[in-house]
Amino acid sequence: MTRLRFDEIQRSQYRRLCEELAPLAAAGGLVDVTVPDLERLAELPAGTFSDRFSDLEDFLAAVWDAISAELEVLEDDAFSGSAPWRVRVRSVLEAQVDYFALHSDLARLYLAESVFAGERMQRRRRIAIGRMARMIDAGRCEGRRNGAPFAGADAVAGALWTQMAQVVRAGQPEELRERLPEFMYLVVLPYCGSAAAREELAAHSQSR
Amino acid sequence: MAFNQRERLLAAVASVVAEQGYGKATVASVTQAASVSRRTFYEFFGSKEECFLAAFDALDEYLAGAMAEAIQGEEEWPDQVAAALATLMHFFSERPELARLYLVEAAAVGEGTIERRSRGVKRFVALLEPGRRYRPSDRPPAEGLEEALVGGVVTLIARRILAGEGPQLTQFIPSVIEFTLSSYLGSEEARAVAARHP
Repeated sequence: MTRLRFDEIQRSQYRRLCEELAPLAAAGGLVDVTVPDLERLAELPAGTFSDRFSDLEDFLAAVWDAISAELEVLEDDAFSGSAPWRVRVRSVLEAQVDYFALHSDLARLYLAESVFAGERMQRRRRIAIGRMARMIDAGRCEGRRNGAPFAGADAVAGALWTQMAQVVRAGQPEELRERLPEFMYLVVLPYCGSAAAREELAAHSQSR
Repeated sequence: MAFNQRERLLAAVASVVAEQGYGKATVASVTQAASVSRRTFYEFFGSKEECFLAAFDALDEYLAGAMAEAIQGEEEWPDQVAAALATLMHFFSERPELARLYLVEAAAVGEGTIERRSRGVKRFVALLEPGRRYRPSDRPPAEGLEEALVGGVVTLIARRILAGEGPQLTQFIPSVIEFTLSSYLGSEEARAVAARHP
């Protein structure tokens, strides 16, 4: 008989807790999630949760980190290469919306529920938004704008996050892809001007 | 005297939270910063959270008044938005600890501030919505555009504050105005409005 190692058991328990957290939070919001509910749904003995996590936010942070790590790989991959900035940033947004559409419960946890969590989650959100802002700000180099440089990449990234969270919170993550041209409009507008931003919307109406 | 003590506690909770973060701030550190006794603290507030929320409410009321005043001084909608944004940014650059309380730490308090924070967002959304009439009819604004723009502005200010760049916030005023107005007016006209509100 093959004996399971302790770390394998822990990993399995963790996975079961993760699997239950996302739909539970999606159904009633994170504020209604309780540790006993989680343990019951994951069919784990009472106390399993506290063996590993200090509280729900600690657990949420672990789940968040797992999602964020996956997204970071996808984003970096999409943004790499020598294509023009607009193409690369569109690829990043496509990778994000596809991921969120495929994992709708995780998307809600990551984009929407984390907004109402505590300090640790806020810190993580800020790091993720900062990552996006850096990709957006690369538009400075390739944008064709005249006049003072635009210093609002953080604002653009924050607005994108808010828009995606709205869609996900409304339970329509599959609509994210359809909203992609609007997202691109917001990104391109300050760096490349109105005409280029309108091209992003026009591409959308042609593809419909 | 009692009014004065309460005000001191509200100012103290803002400075302590800005320095230590909401999670690490304690009633003891607040009373020490306000130079009042623990007993006095509990005469006014039941907990650290209650004191924080009272400070948040007082600040929210002040900001609503300052915004309204800024808007009244302008006739056209784009200038009203620009003036309101410039007023907020100037205020937060002078009082970065209050920006941190209002825009950063409030999010860490959790449920108690959800309703309060949405009050401030709704106020700004209401200010932005008339801009929809400026947008060409072939490009109707995206659903939830105003909430997204407010989320963007909050993100920018919060990140600058946390980076210790609060006093330099005014440098971002042109970009914030341009960002907020360009979805309605186009980037070129938005930039022209921004130039009128340094």
